[in-house]
Amino acid sequence: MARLVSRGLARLVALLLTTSLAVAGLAVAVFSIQGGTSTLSLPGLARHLGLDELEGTVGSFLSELEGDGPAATVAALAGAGAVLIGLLLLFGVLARRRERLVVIRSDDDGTIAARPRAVGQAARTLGEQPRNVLHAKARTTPRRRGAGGRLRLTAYHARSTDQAAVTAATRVRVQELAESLSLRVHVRGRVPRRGARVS
Amino acid sequence: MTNDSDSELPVSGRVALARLAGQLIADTDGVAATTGPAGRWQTIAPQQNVRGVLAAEDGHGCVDVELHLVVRWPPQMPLQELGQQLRGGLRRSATKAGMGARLGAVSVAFDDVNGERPGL
Repeated sequence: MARLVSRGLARLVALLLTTSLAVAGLAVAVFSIQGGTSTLSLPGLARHLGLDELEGTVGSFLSELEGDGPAATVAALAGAGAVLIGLLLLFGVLARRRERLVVIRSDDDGTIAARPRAVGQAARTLGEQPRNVLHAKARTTPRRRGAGGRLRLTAYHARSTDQAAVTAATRVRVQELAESLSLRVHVRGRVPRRGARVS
Repeated sequence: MTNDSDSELPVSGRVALARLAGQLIADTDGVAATTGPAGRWQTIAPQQNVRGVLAAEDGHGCVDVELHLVVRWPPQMPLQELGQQLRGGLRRSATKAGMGARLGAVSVAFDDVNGERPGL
């Protein structure tokens, strides 16, 4: 869970930082076209951003930071928080992502497992065996803990074919595989979109 | 390039167990070893790397072995049974080679399937 949160946070921060950096770089480039105190000069950019007023606003706060007092305490807490967020971001960036496997059996002697992609391919092969199925798509999600997982199979069929019959036939085909891997199966039938490839 | 003297090179127990596992995979019908997309699933050995076998030794000399396999579909037996057969086979081979006490956990991962359809 912590890894998911930190990974998501790291992606969001990376997106925001790169976007702001790009915008800032573009602004500096545009405001470097002219020199002196012209409109498109760096002093002009400082005027647009109101840096003089900003200095007046935060100047007293910055002075307070230099001495003891409530502002220094707040700044220390904010600094500690920034360090923690930084560590979380580092964890999100550097933590290795490990693909979960569909565990078939696990004991002290080791684990027997299958990769979701392999299970999906097998389920797809089985799901396409009924004659009225044009094409099948499978998605396997292993359980976070313990054996088994979930298999979602979509069977594409012709518009003229009975959807319930297709679903039932497909379910029968994958039942044995699902039971041997302790998978919960969800089968649905669909008619392919007009013009979509079916094989 | 190898010669007769190379084949006499002493190898660690870890590599010897990895080779036993590699031989077992080669002798088992319906499965093949895979090194994975990044080529990580192999044991580096003096003469020839053992594909599809990851052997890791702990501080007590116990070697845990992972087998990474492509299974031919449909399999001849349920995957659990196939995995159990491979684990049992490796334990028997290790015992026969006098390394049974060093063999730790044996894990089997079916990483891909190989069927008659193109792309499988």
